[in-house]
Amino acid sequence: MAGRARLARYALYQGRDFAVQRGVPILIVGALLLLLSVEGARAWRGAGGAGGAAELARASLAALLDVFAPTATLLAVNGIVSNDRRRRFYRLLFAKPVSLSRYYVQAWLVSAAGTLVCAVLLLGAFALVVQPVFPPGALLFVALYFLLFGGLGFLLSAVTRHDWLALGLVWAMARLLRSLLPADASWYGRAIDLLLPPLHVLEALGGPLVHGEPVPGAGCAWIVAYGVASLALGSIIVRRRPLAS
Amino acid sequence: MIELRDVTKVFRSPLGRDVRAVEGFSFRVARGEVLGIAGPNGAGKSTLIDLLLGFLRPTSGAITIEGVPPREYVERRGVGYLSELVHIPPSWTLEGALVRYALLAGVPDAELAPGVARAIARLGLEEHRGKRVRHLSRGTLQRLGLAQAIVRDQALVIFDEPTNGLDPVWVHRFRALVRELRAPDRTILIASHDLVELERVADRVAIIDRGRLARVVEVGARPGAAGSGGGVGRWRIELADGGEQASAVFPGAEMLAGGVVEVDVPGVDALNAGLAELIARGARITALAPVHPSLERQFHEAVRE
Repeated sequence: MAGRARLARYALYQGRDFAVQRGVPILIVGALLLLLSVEGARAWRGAGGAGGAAELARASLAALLDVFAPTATLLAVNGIVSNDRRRRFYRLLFAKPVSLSRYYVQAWLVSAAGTLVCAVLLLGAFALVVQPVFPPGALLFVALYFLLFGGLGFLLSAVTRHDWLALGLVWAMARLLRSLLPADASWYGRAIDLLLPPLHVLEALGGPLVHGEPVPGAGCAWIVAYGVASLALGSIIVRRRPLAS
Repeated sequence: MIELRDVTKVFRSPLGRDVRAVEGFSFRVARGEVLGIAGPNGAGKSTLIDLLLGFLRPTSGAITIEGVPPREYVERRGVGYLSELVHIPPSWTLEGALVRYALLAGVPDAELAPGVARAIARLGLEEHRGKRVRHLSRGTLQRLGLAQAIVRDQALVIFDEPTNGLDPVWVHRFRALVRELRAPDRTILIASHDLVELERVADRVAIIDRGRLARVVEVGARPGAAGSGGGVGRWRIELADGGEQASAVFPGAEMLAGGVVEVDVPGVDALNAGLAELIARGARITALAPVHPSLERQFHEAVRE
């Protein structure tokens, strides 16, 4: 009578859910941003800016990704854990022989893959309609954004049903507190800098990654460590927090 | 199979007020048993089921299923569970939902399609298989809930208000389903407000009141069990002649007006034997009916308003 869940096979269904519920909105956001880039490209070509078109295109792409990466990540991870609790889908799902943490970490990985596929489609469309550039660093930027912001989103979704609001608050607080309390000015500034997500480091990487310039390894390591730690902490909370309330 | 030792679950409201949903609950359920769980609204039935599935942890006391904590048991073995309200994502199709639940239940590839088809046929869902969950009627959704619970054989089955929204035909078929599921290595728990239904399908019924185990009633629905058929209790006999013989046949019989007699019997065999003797003594019986189903009477005694 016994038998563990076949979670690897179930990933196909999680992928289908991602495509329908999250992939389509992400692509719509990407298409709107692409439209703005096309308008921008038309403007600079009209001004006779033929020289350095590739450079201008990369700058335009970096600006596009600055908006696309956080928006796509927010759409991809919003409610990833909390929706099942709020809408009580967990009751039938987790009466099956399923490990909660494995189920949700797999859902997060599927969302990461789906977001990267959307990013590839957006970059491909950009190369087709704006300028034939496809910097691999742009994809790495989206992946790092997902790891940091998406890992934090997973943690917050495990903690609260208002995860999108909490994620927005953390994002705003990180910007506000870093500007008010610089890390080099005081010990609490340093503490805040360590505690809050290193979004400033991530955003500073966007331009260099798209332009193919070298990026600081320490900054990348901080982002990866913060994202992985958030994901790990989230999976522990998923496991330990009672499903019902 | 299942053991609860002095289990208490306290919820704390945002204002700091404690609500004791389950209190000092000790109980054992054996393998092969069908246990009914009855109680008024808010008695703690749902909390008890959440504790058994590991969706909640007890504030004090211990629960084990096959010797391990509930969540560990569920993650290792799974439970055939139907929730009181069936919550399934509305965009899933009926058949798609069953395939997903079967995968999560660990059904191997070779058994996936036949297993899902069997569950669909068993619950009469063939004509709805391609419909989205959002388009299903209440009764069909309930049957889908039952189908996902039995899509794989499980050693522990928990049905919470299983006949909610079912029409009389499917209520009848549900009884047959429980009879089919009954097995020496399977434990079945059924929480319901429907005492008549519990009396028909369960071996014992645990009556819960205000979070406490108020009483456990043997109802003996197990095929071949003594008292099978629920004959225990009070019966009303209407007689055309020979009513005066009733008190000799049924000690303590209560004579009412119009040739009506109410008698208490310990089981259906005693009832039949008494009736046979009454007829032999010249009585003519015109009607026979239970005054109260015994479980209902015991429920009202146990649950003080």
